[in-house]
Amino acid sequence: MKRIIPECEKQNIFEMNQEIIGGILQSKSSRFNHLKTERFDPESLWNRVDGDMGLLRELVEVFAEEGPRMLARIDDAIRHGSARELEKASHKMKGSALQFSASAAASVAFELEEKGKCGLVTGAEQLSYQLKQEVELLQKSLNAMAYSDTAQ
Amino acid sequence: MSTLVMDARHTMFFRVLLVEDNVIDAKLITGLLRSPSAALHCCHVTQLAEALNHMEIHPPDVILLDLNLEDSSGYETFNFVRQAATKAAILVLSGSDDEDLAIRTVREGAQDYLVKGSFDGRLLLRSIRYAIERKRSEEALRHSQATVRAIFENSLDGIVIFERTGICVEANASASDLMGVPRDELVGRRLCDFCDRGFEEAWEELSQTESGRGRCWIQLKDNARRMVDYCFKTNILPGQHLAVLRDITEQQDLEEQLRQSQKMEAVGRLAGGVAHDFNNILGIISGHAELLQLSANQADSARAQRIIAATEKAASLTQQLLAFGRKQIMSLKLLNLSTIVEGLSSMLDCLMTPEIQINIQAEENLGLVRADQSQLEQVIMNLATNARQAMAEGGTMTITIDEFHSSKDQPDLPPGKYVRLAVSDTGIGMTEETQSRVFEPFFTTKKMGSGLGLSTVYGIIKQSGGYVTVQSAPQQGSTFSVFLPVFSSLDSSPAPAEPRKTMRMGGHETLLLVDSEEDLRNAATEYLEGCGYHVLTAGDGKQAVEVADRYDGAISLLISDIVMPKLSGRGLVEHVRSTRPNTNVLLISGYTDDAVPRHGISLDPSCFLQKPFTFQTLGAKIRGILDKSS
Repeated sequence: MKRIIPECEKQNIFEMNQEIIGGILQSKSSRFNHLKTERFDPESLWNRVDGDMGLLRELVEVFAEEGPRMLARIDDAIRHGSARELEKASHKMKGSALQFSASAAASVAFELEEKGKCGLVTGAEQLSYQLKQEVELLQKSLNAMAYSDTAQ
Repeated sequence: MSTLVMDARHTMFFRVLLVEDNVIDAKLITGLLRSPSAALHCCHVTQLAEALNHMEIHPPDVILLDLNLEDSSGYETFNFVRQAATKAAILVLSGSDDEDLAIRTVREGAQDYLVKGSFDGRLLLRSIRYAIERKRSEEALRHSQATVRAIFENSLDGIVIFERTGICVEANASASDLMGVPRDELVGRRLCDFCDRGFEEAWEELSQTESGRGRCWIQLKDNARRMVDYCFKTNILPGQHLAVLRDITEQQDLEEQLRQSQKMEAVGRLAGGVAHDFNNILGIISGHAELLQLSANQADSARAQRIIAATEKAASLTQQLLAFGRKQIMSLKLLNLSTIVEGLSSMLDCLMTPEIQINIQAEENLGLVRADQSQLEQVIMNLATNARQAMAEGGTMTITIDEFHSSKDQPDLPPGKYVRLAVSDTGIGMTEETQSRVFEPFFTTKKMGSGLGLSTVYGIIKQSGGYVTVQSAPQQGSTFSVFLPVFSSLDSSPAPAEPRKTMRMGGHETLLLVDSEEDLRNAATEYLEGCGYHVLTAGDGKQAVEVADRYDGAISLLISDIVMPKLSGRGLVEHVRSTRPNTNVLLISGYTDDAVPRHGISLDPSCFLQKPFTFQTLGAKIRGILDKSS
C-alpha cells in the first residue's frame, strides 16, 4: 500500500533526494575530467543537466543545428552593418555558450555583443571567425561528452 | 535520476509557462522540468505575443521569462507580462550582464531571477517552488492589506494610529472630519491637542495599560465641541497605538432632548392633576357666587360678580396648564390659517402698543390645516403677546403665513407639506440658553408673567400634530414658527365659525345630578331647582344607579362626573342607557379631552362640559340638550 505523503513532508523528502542525486553526480562527473579545458567545463555542464545523459544528448543535437544558425545570423548582421542585430544574435550565442559552460566561446560572443551594443560593426569579422573556431571546438567536446564510449 | 514515488492524486501540479526564444535554453529548462517529481506542466512559447495569448487561455501558476525576445526586450517585456498575469509568480531568466535589470524586476513584482548558466535542475525547481509560495504570501498579504485599508478608510468611526509620544502617524477620513481639520494637518500633531485638558491627564495613566475606553470632549477650531467615546489599544505594532473615536454629540443631544421631553411630560401630567382638582374647587366657588348673586342686594351682587370674574381668570390659567399638558379637549375642524389671523387683526391691534407696527403677510391659496379654532387663536395671541413683551421700546411685529415644504434633510421637521405661521419681532432677542428653555412651563425672563404662554403654544401645536421652532439672537429679534401639516387643499370647505347662541334657561324636567364633590353638587342643585327643574342627586355612580332604579318617573337628563369612586361615569352611563334609553347624558369633568374616550364612553362631544363652568353655562347646556332631544 502506498503511503500518502502529506504536503509538509514533501519538501524535506525532495531536498534529501536532491542531496543523494548530488552525491551520485559527483561520482559520475569525474569521468569527464579528460575533456576539461580552460575553454570548456564538462563537470559544470553535467551538473547543470542533473546528470541526465538523455537531456545532454538532446541539447548537443539541438546545438548542432542551432549553433551554425546563430553563427550565420551574426555574419548576416555584420554583412548588413546592423549593430542591433549583431548585439541580439551575439547575445543568444553567448547565452547558449554559457549553458554549455563554454567560457571561451561565451567570452568572444560577449565581445561581439558589446560591439553591437556600442553601435559598432567594424572589426566584428575577426571576432566572428574566432567565435566559429570556438564553437567548432565546443561541438567536438560536446560530442565526446555525449557520445564517447564512457558516456552511458 | 531516481524519482520520488508519490500518489499522483495527492500531488498538486503547477502550470509553468516558459517564455524563451533561445532553443537551447528552452530545451535545457524543459528537460530539467520534465521529471515527474517536479509536479509541473510546462508549456513553451518563444514570443511575447504568444505568451500573452496563452496566459489568457491557460493562466499559469509561474512564468519563466527571458526578457530579450524577438518581439520585445528588456523591462518592457516584464511589464507586459506582469500586467497580463497578476496572479502568476514570475521568475526572470537573465543573462549575466543584465543582472541589474533582473533585480529591478524583482523590486517591481517578479518573485525571483535566475542567471543563465548558473543554475541547475535543483536550483531551478527550488526557485520555482519558492516563487509560487512567495506569490501566494504576497497575494494573501495584499488581500489582507486591501481589506484592512478599506475598513480603515470607510469606517464611520474615526481611527487614529499614533506613537508613544501621542503624535498621530495615520488617520482616516472620519477622524479628520471629527477633529475638523484636513488629514495632512492631523498627521504629525498630538491627539491631546484636540481634546480637553482632562484627556491629557487621563492619557498618562491610560497609556500604561494595554487597552481601555473613555469619553472626552474634542475642541474644534470654531470653538464648537464634540463629545467622543474612545477606545484604544497600545502597541498594535512596536511603538504604535490605535485609537477609535466615535462622535456621540448627536446621541447626547437626543438623550438630552428626550430627558427634556420627559420632564415636560411629567410637568404636564402634574399640571393636569393639579388643574383637575383646582377646577373642582373653582366650580364650587363660582357656583356659590352665582347663587349668592340670585338673592343678593346690589352691593353683594357686585361682589359676587367679582368672585365669578376671579374664578374665570383662575379657570383660564388652569386651561393653559391643561393645554401644556395636552389635556385640552379639541374640536378639530379644517381651518384656513390666513382667515383665522385676519379675524384676529383687530384684537392684535388692541394688544400691541402704539409704538409697535404690525405687518401681516399671508400667501393666497394656502392649504387647510386641521385644528381647534379657539386653540389656534390662543396660540396666535400668545405669540403676539410674547412679541410685544420683547419690544418694550417699540418695533415691528410681522406675522407671515405661507406654505413650507420640508425635505429629508430638515432636522426636527418630518418631510411633508406644511402651512407655516411665523411671528417675528424686532425686539431684544434671546440667548441660546434662553431659546433652549423657552417652551418650558413657568420659565420666564420677565418680572411679571406666568411663564405659561409659550408652553401653552407648544402644547396646543403638539396636540394638533404640528411643530414649533424658535430662531433668535441677542438684540436681533426673534421668530417663532409654527408648522401645521396641510390636511387638504383649498377645495375642501373650511368649517364656518361657530355662531354664539342665546339659550333660554329653566325647565321642568327631572334631572339626575351625580358628582362626588358635595359642595358643588349642592350648589348646582340649588341653582337648577331655582330654574324649575326637579333634581335628583347622588354622590357616586353606585348611589346614582340606586336612585335611578328607584325613581318611577322619567329622568330627562343624567348629569354626571366621569371619574367617581365605586362606579365610574362609564358604568353609570351604560346602566342608564340600558334601563332608561330615552335619558340624555351630559358629562362633566375637571379633566379634559381623553376623559371621555379614555373611559370608553361613546358620546357626542357637545355633551361634555369642562369644569369649572358657571351655572349659567350649565343651565344653557342642559337646555340645549333637552331642546335638541325633544
